[in-house]
Amino acid sequence: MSPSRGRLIFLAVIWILSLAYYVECSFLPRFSEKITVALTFWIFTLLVVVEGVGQMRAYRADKKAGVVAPLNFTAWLGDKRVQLSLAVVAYVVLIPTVGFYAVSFLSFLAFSFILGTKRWSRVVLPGIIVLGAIYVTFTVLLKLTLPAGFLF
Amino acid sequence: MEFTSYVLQSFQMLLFWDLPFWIIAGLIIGIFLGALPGVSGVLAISLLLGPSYYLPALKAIILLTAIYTGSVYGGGISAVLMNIPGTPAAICTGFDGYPMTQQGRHNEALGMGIMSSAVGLFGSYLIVLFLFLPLGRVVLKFGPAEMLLVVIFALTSVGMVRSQILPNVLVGLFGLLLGTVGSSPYGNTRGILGQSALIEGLPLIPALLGMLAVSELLVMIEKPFVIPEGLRPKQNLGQIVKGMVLTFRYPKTLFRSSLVGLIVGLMPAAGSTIASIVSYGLAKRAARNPDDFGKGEPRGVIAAETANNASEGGAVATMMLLGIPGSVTTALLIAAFMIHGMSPGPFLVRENLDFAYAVILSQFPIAVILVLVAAIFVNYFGRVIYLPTRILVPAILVFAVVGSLANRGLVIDIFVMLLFALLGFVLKKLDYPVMGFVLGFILGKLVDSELLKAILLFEEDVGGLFQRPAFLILLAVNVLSLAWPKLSELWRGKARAS
Repeated sequence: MSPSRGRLIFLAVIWILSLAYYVECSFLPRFSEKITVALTFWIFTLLVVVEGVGQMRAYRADKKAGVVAPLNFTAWLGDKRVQLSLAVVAYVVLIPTVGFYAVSFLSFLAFSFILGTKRWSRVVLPGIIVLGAIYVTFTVLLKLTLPAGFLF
Repeated sequence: MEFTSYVLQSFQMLLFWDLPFWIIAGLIIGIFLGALPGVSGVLAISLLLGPSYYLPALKAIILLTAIYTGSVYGGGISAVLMNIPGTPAAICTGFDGYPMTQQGRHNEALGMGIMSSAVGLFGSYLIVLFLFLPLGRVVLKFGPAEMLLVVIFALTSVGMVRSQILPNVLVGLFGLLLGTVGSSPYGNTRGILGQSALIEGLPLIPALLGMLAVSELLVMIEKPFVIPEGLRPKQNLGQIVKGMVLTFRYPKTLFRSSLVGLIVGLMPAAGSTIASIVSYGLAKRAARNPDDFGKGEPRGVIAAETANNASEGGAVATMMLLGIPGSVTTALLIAAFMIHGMSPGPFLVRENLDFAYAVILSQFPIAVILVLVAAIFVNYFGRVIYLPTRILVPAILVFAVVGSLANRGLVIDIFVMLLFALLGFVLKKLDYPVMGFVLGFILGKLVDSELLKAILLFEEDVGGLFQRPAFLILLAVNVLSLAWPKLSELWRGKARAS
């Protein structure tokens, strides 16, 4: 993807989020509790316009030069980073129900396989060492309560 | 109470038996992660920020500053051995350190790096120790309007230093908006999406963990090893010690670089990278044979390593006196002070001056212990940095989740971490400065509260603002800082024309 197209999409997304936040804050009763957000939002909008115009020009130039490739979602899903990100989301969602240590161990194996580990034997021991270190440091020494879930 | 009594009182605060344990632990973690390219002490500090909440305040800050020191030094190890700077601040270390490795003098270079770092750190904190109180007295004259100007200066000066004004200010303002999420100073909620867990604002630690550590992992997985295989030089403790002793053959370089590091460190947003670049440049300019630089000149390693560690003294002083983070690392240290109920800046000077002095005094044993720990580390444990990313990345991910859960134990904090990781990754991929965003995010609440106080104090007497010398000076500094790039361009243009 051309960097200018990515930047344009990014600018649009963060501006829309900021607009939604600004609109919510504009309903606050006192002037002094909405002034920071209002001031910041309007200066931010001005800069987004300036940056956006620059990126639009760069995008047009890229398009003319034939640099802009069409978006390919199949390739995107095959990307290791996307697979790892999805695995991390699943990991986080499962922590409260299954329990931190059980899910963390399984996720450690899953992450490692996504990143190219071929054999179980190469990843089980590092997994036990890492989680053992976390257990000793955080649960035993620092007395931290981590989500237990139905397993551990 | 005067200087001597504060120092004595602070010294007594440091008399606890496990002080060396926290220093050694911090240094080992810092050196190990600092030596990993792209990981740095930011990751280490952000990982331990949450758990440090459970330690007494002074032990927590000592642990985190030891990590900071270790990571700044650790960055130089991979720069010397493989020409891969572990942190941006070690870029100049590799200029001469790596040619020394190629000449078979890597142990000497590593030893010089250790001693220069310790001298830089010790020297800068020695100056800070004597100047902290006078600077503190000036800072106490700062009211809300002045603090607001200081914060604005911090936000804008990042752009000025890194010559990326528009992207920096743009993402900085977005960060600032997100930093104001939560309850307003009057107690009304803003942007919390119905989540009561966000009333206090977006949680700082998970947000920083995601933005700085997890997003970096997504970049790291593109390579099978952080450090390419086949580059594994042998270690030798005797040669390392020889390198340490040789450092003292260059007292002028040591002194100049310590001073440069301290001054650059004091400036908000300049940081250790700028310090080492300026110091390396000055050392080269001052040398009789500048052509030797870049070919294995020991003064190159000494200048870079002394300055990047000396900058820590300045950065920590600015952080404690003004509450301004000069770098992401000091931003994390501010967060550490905050979670222990202290607010760096005038409040710290007014309420916890003895604590601030204790932090400064604790840096002297850190500098001494650094020499021992670093020598052992580079000799024995340096090989750990050859771990494959398929093991390293999952391990850091699991640690990041623990770090997010450590502070409040709420699952929503892990989701905040994930969202900020995504944002951090996108910012890096699109070449927007993450540092600008982080500064805005951290300073958002401060801008909000100081602006509110300034409005309440001066809404009926705006003219009163202009009768305050500190306000006028800071206003002038801000205007100059904003106009500086254009002014210097004009100046250069005129000089060329004449």
